[in-house]
Amino acid sequence: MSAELLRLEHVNFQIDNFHLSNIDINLYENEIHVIMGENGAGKSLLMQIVCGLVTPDSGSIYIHNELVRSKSMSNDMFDGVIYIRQDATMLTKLSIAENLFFNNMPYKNKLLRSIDYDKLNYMCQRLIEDLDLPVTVFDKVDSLGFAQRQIIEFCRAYISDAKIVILDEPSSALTHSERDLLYRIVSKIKAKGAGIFYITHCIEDVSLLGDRVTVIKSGSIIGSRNVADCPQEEIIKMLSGRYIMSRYPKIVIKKGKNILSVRNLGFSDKLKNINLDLCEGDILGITGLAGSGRTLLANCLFGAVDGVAGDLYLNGSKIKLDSPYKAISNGIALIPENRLTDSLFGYMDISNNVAVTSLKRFANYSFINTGYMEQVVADYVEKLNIPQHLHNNIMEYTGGNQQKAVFAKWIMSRAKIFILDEPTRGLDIASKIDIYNSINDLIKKKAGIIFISSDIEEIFGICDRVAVLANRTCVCNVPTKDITIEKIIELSTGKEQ
Amino acid sequence: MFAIERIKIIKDYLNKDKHVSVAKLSSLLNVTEVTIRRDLEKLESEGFLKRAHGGAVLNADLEETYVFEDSEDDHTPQMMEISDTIFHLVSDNDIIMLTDGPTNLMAAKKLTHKKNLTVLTNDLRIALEFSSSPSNKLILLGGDLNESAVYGQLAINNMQNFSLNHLIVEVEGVSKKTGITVSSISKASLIQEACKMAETVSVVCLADHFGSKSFYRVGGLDVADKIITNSTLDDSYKDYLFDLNIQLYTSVNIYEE
Repeated sequence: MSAELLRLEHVNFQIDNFHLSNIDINLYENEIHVIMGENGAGKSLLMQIVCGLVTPDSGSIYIHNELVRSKSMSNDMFDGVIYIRQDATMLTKLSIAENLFFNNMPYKNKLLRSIDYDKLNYMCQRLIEDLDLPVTVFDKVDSLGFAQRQIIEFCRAYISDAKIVILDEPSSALTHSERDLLYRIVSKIKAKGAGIFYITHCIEDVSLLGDRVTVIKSGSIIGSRNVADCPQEEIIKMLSGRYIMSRYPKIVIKKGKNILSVRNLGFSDKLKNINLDLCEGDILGITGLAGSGRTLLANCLFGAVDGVAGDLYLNGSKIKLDSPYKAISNGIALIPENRLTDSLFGYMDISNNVAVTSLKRFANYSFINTGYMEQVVADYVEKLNIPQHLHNNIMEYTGGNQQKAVFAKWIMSRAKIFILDEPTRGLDIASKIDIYNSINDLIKKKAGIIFISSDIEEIFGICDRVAVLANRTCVCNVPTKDITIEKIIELSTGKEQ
Repeated sequence: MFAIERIKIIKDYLNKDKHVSVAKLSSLLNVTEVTIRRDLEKLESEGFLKRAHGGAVLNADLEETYVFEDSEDDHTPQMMEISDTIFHLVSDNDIIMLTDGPTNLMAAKKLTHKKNLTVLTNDLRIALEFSSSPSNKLILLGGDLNESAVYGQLAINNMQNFSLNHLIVEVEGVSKKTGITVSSISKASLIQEACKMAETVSVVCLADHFGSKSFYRVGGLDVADKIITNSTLDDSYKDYLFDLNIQLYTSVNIYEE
């Protein structure tokens, strides 16, 4: 029976609108504990609590069966924990050896901190042979590709003495053969006696590596199982959980003519062979895991990306969208994911933010008729239940109201095609409802909607069709009534065909 | 500047102030007085206003036609929004029941444009709307007539011969504490029985009537699969209903094609 390394009991944490509730989870020596869940389920936040970077609001953390006293102000990592993430920065001008052993350098002279490079290189060479890594000791980090750097990062975990190792989405950027290497490294870490929390979206990782699997959804733990007792279907079922799709206000609209056709769209090596069609009254859902190219696709359709291959047809005529200006002039609107950086002018008031795309209407020679403009804006703002105070700075509003203001902006500009990138993420429920119902109004009046979301429940509830992006292309494009949530999850994980 | 928008602003002004002057409109909208006069002419021909010295006044006659028997304030625009949503929730060939009420009546007017509906109702006025729509089938329940709708055991017995896709009930009150309430006990019984026969139950209620209660309880909020109301509904209800897994349609009329 392996010793227990870590235990969380009744841990709770709240940030903005998101709650991690009543978390009970533990980790043993010599175990790979896989953590699965959708984007936004709370996996990374949980790991930050596990390693001590974030202090929970309530609950207890036990390490080696001893209660950890919260160090109140200091949010340093607990001893003996190492957290490897995808966005880790490395010291690019130094060699691999220097990066790897950064925390335990061999010194010739401890006082003077002069590094024993011979020893360092020897240790590194030993490691490379041990793990059969496709690099040499003297390679500089900046000569390595992204995936290779990732591998080096995992090696850091192997070298450290940490007993609690957290790997956050290690396999998502790797090819098949690189994944084999990863598995080897991870097995070696496990053999050393460490316990590993392994966050992944990839179901294959579970059966190939995992000893236990825990599924987390919307901040709560759905279930923990021994992998040996848990077939893949059950994991998928846990992931989809009690999907309650019936709470989204969906209306049925007769579809009109085709307003947008995308043929063979591609970009660099990130997207290929994307084909889509959108009719008046359509709501086309697009989903996929983080990094699958959803936002990139949205930006391509808005003319915000140079060098896009493929053909675009608007109302039947071929068109080249080489700038967002051209897209807007052709009635295409984009509501980006990052509201604060991409949708709003933080130094302007709400009235100006809403009117900004429609200024031509209020222009009079070289002046803008602000009285008239504000009247029209006030009308839109009221209809979307945004508290009226037109001259308040936009940043003083809640996230939900800001997003509604962004909607108002595009609705006012009378766009015909609306590309929505995670339109309701992180918003309060009342704002979500206002937005779903506004979308209903748009489709009643013959607009077409492309709805990008990682919330599969929402896609099922709102969209007529769903397209899944995986492996850099579109792996399916079907009516929502002809597919299940489980199948979408399976397709998103992109089992290599 | 779009003429449509100008007209809209003029209408809003009139609704608020009851009268308006050409000079004021001309400077506000930044167009010539001639243009304003033309807009006012147009609105006069629609019966919306009467032109007078230097301006126009709201047409008092117009207001009367929109008053319904049971409303203290004029809820017509809200009812219009809701009835539009109801229209989009019904498909050709559906079997539906519409209980009595002014909003349902407005919805009925629109629903006559659908094809091959089978409509069950206890409201005389709704029946009358469909009588001139040959493409749809209407069944009027028989029973005790009270004002313009039938209720009572006879009507309930009558109703039990049918099974519906979709029941659309208009109610007078919705609240977290007391649930769904209506103005008479016979109406409550009728609706309770009707719910048992429908696959989907939609509850129609003006946003202003949320949080208030009428006299007789139909049931808890879980009776409803969908609730159709206005976007001005209080945020706390939006949260509450979403958590109860009820599809909440807060009709909004915002997009101009």
